[in-house]
Amino acid sequence: MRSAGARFRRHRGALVGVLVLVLVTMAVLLGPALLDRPPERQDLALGPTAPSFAHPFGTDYEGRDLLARVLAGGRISLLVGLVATLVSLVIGVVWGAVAGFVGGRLDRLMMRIVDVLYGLPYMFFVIILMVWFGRSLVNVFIGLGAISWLTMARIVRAEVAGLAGRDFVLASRLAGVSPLGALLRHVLPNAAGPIIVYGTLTVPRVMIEESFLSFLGLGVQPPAASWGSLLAEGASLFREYPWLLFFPALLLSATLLALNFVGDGLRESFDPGEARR
Amino acid sequence: MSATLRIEDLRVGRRGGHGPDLLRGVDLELRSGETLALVGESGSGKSLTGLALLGLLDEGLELRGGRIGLAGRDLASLAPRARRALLGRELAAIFQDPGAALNPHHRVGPALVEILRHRGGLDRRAARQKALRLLADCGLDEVERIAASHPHRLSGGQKQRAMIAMAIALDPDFLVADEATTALDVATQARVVELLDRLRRERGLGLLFISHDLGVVQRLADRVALMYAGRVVESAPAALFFAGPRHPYGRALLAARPTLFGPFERRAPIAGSAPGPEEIGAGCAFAPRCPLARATCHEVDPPARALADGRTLACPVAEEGG
Amino acid sequence: MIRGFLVRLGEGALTLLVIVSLSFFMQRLAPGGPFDHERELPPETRRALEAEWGLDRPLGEQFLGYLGGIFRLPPDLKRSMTRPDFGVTELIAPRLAVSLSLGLVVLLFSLVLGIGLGALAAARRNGFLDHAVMALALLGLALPNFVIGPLLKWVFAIELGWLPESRWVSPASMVLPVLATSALYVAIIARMVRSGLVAALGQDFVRAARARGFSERRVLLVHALPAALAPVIAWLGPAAAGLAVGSVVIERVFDIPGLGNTLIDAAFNRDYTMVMGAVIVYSAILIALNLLADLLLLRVDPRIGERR
Ligand SMILES: Nc1ncnc2c1ncn2[C@@H]1O[C@H](COP(=O)(O)OP(=O)(O)OP(=O)(O)O)[C@@H](O)[C@H]1O
Ligand SMILES: [Mg+2]
Repeated sequence: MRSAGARFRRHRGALVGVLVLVLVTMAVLLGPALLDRPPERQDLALGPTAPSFAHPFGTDYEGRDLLARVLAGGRISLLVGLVATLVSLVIGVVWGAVAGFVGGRLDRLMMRIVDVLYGLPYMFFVIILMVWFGRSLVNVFIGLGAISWLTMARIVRAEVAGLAGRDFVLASRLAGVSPLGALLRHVLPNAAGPIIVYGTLTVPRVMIEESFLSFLGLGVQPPAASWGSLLAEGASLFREYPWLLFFPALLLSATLLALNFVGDGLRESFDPGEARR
Repeated sequence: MSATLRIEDLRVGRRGGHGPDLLRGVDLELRSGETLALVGESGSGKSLTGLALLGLLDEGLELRGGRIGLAGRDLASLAPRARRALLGRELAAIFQDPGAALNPHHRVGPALVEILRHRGGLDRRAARQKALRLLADCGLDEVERIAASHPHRLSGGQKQRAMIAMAIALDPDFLVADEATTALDVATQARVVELLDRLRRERGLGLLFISHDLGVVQRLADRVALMYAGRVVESAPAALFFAGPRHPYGRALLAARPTLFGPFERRAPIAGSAPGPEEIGAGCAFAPRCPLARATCHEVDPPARALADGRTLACPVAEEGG
Repeated sequence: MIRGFLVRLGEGALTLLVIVSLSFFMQRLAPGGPFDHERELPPETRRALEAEWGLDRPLGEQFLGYLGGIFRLPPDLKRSMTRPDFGVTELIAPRLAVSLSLGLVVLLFSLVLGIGLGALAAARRNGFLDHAVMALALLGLALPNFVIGPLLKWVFAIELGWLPESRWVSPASMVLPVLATSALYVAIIARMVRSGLVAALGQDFVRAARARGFSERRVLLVHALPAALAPVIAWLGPAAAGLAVGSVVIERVFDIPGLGNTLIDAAFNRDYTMVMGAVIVYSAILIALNLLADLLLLRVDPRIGERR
């Protein structure tokens, strides 16, 4: 038996994915400080220029440096991805753990609710809520997190229900550990693998959804930008200024692909028998 | 007309030439209308022999050498497509777990009709009628209901009978039955064995019967081939074999038979365990556990030789000892 | 089985009720209203308007009144608050027709192409074609449709001039929007079908099918494919929901008069009755689709019905 870590290291796509993620993260974290060009500094006289030595990614309609904007936008996109995933993780794990651990009728009811919610266009609700309650970053986090927990709940429930009946859990209960204690100390840690795998795969989905909101003008509000809002801008202007679409698309796609690769790699290392559920 | 299936020096290993041979030169001969039982402990290569014969080895495995002679052709050197086309018509197979081997998405009747139409060239009506006849012929009652059922609705015995009906649908000459009765309860097992024996008699089927159950083998087989670590170490007419095998491994195996009920694997028959494919050295694979082993046994792997009484034996020591 | 179906139907109705209530009350809780224009209305005009629409009565009473309207045959969705000369049904119907046809064409196209590509990749697993198809699928997953849309438009409508640029008028004008919307779904289906087929190809029943002498193509398409399709069918409900949302973007990019943007515009204008109408129509359709997918799944995998 090789460990999950060893199996992961043999997965070439996943390693490339990790490398890309590390590079992108470092670039968006450190880049803006090194660039000494604030992303919001306009130069209307300059206007949109193609990539050049002074502006490697070119400049946008207001003469802002695209490289600086893309790096700053990356911060927001990654932040949205992480925080919204965290929100979905909390909801999904609690929901799934309660259903799986309590079992019986409550379990059936809770999972049926998940089944029903699965088929609904919840993005519409996020869109409408953003319209009604304002377009703040916090609302983006909560809205996207609140609609992304369903699969996580299913996965956690399946794991927890499987583990709850196992000997080591029963033994700890007999030894006087409370149900909650048993859940936290014995069951959830053993379900960590699938939670991590699916969490990793949630991040790119949430990032796409954020870009969606941004495209509709409902995400991050100017002058701040995310990759999604830069893409939306680029998509409308790319015939004249193709670099405005190219660079944000490149970074977003590379990050999404990297996350998918890492997620697939993690899944195969935690669950070598099963390619995909 | 009696056909003969002749396997010579069959070798199978991992694809790409890595690793040792898993089958290290298997020789077998089977005539239609006869039952050849393949016995030997777990991992000795019985299933691999059957699958290699059918050309259905797992993707990770490949044929490394040998000939499979059937009706003047060598199947081993046939193109995959031509080889596949022989399955069902000349060579058929049934497997251990009928629950897993029947497609859960297909009803029994249509699955049979599919075979008869697409492989047998019958039209829809003729195929339907023949399908029902085949089911009845395999000892199933209420064939209409069974034909209309999905496999999960059938009992284990019914499933295996349906599998057999599909295997013999195109009237093949040879049938590979890999532990076809292992998953069934004892009474059902006996009836399915009876069915196979009847089909052999009535249709002149050549049966390659892979089994762990020496009791069944004794009832059913005309000839027994004993495998050990990827080779056939002794092969003999069934009566001779059960009267007393010559190979020391066969003797140990028979001595360890349970007297009444119970699976024979329970009683660790022989000290030590069979070597994995990686652990086999230059000599006879059984030598490390063999009570008769001599120095040469550890150096040269003895070839199988035909004896006067109709056996073949790969043990010069036992051969001398008489 | 009939009992199960009725239970599902009841669940569907309950879900619809919950959605309607949630949207109704959220909408009223949110700041702003249909009569907040840039120019402030005189208070008496405003009061008169609110009285006309019944907005001055208690919220609970308004809610019950609205419910009474929709749970009736034919349902009464009231008039649009921002275009009071038109009924909500009347405004929604033509746009729904457009959105439905886009969604249906996309779904069919994605299924055909996705299953085909997935089967091809599985048949040539680990070969060049497999890698090529899977790489394309990853691209489909990683590029948002509002990037694919404009790119397609640029290449095929503007540079090459082969296809009309926008609107939903002729079959030719549908090609680009369908392609742009389908990319994601083709990618997802192809990946699902490929991995499902590869898993199925290792099953005993596939080996048994091979042992009957069927060609590899027949084994793949007739014997392994049903097992690989079950997850695709189970996912059709959520896919339709995603499609409904995704088409909002495509409707913008290609200037298609569909229902998605109607909903969003109505939300911006606080057109209470239009928002409710669009939400109800969307939810009803998707709930029905989920029910249909469940039934279909039962046909593909008969074991499911007995397990429940
Ligand atoms: N797909 C495979 N890849 C690698 N090795 C394999 C594969 N299938 C079988 N083997 C190896 O080949 C050897 C023979 O296996 P085989 O299945 O033929 O044994 P068997 O005699 O049928 O055993 P049993 O009685 O348990 O069915 C074993 O060592 C097994 O580990
Ligand atoms: Mg075997």
